[in-house]
Amino acid sequence: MNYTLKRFEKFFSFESINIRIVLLTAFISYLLQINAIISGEPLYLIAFYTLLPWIPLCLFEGIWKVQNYAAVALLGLFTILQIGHFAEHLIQVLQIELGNGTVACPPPIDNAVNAARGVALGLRDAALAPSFYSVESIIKPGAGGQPILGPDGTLVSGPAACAVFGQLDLEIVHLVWELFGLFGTAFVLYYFRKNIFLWIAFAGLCWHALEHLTITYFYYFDQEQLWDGFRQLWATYPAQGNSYVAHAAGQEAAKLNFYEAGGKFGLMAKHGMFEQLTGFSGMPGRAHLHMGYNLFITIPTVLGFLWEFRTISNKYIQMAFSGLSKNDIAKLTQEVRISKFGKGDIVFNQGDIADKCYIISRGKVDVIIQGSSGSENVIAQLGVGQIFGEIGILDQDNSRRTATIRATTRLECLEINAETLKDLASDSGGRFSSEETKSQLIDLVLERKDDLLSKAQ
Amino acid sequence: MRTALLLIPNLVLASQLFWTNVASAASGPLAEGFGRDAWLDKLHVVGGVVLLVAALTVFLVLMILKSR
Repeated sequence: MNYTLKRFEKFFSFESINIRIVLLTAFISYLLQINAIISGEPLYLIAFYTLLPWIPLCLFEGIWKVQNYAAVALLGLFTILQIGHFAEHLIQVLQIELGNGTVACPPPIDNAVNAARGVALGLRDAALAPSFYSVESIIKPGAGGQPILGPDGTLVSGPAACAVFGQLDLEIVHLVWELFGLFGTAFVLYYFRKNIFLWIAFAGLCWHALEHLTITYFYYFDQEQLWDGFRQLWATYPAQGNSYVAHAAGQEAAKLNFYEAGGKFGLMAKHGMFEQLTGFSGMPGRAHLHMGYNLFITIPTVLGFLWEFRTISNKYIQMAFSGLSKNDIAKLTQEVRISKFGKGDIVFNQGDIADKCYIISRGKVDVIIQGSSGSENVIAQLGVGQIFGEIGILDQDNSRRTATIRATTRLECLEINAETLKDLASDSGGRFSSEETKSQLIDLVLERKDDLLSKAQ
Repeated sequence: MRTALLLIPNLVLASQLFWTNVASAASGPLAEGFGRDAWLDKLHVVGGVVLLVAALTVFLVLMILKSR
């Protein structure tokens, strides 16, 4: 349990970014959020401004995690995106069920046409220019597109049931997001082909892709207007701050294309193809059905990620200690610390006390020994996946650094402390049990000591 | 070139926000006269999409199972 928590803590933290930058970003995010709230911005903009400063940070951290943890990190990224996607669908359903939400997505905009209707209905001042904000609330339309009255005679209003970022509730966005999930899951399945949870998610994604490809085809390519119908009209006006309301303002007769007439419901939703062809009338509405689809995809994605996460390991440790078991590499991954150096920095000097060793995860170093006359001799260059600093820890005759290490480029290393390295090289049943790793380390120490002796002469 | 590749999808998405008169997704009742026959007329489209998704699935499964 301890290791599991440690793994979570490590993976879901900013490992590659200085804590000061993280704190600064949090502060900026907080300021933007407060400013948006005080300015009376709608919820979607408050959420947007809050998240905005985190985007570049998460991008850089995400790239670093993929470089170090490979496919597990990618799977983690997809898992987070799927959870966010599902959350949007869930919020939409809650808006419908609990909030008298109206499904008008993307939400009506306070544009010139809608604002003019607002003026005509006496709902807003004519001098107030259209703001082009998306509305947050909708006065629910009933028969004839006019507002419904509740049991107490007041207008029934609720949120625009389009989740938080309703402006993204567009067919092309649904399709692109869905295909991104499908291809992304297929990509990680290449690395985790025995993960049954991911196969289940993949099956769900294939079916979901079928729905959205069909709907999007009709949306873009079938424009023949053959059906008589109507379009809902809205009158928009400001509520509070920059929050706007769309008041149901009747309907206009229109000729509708296939999508508008009924194709938008897709294959399996209420009023969709299945109900039309079979006469069955018990299917859930599109919003509820697609929330269900996303649940069917997200749960196995999360389980699939947790399954692989049990043995998440740093690929540079795998490169350095190929003899260790998958579980031992996963354990060692939790014990290392990241250290960074600039170009030209000295990692340690010849003669320093040896208390840790390093595996290079980015960059290169020069191994330098100082002659008796004080001259410097570069005797080797080490790169990604190679270990240095081990001699001073493992050599029983000498506990001091045998060479100076200087970074020749920007350098990033995984630090292993002396106790852990000794455990790796121990034959008395330590935490990491691998004969191969023990021999590998001992051979490395002997080889490098010989090399040092020959080059020092 | 790289900037264009990054900008183009964002611009396409952003342009959609101005299509304010397009019918809202998944709202409202069925239009009058829209029913079984309308879908039967489009079965070839649905069939085409089913074939496309089936082919894509097979392709992806083969790529997944391809030995490294």
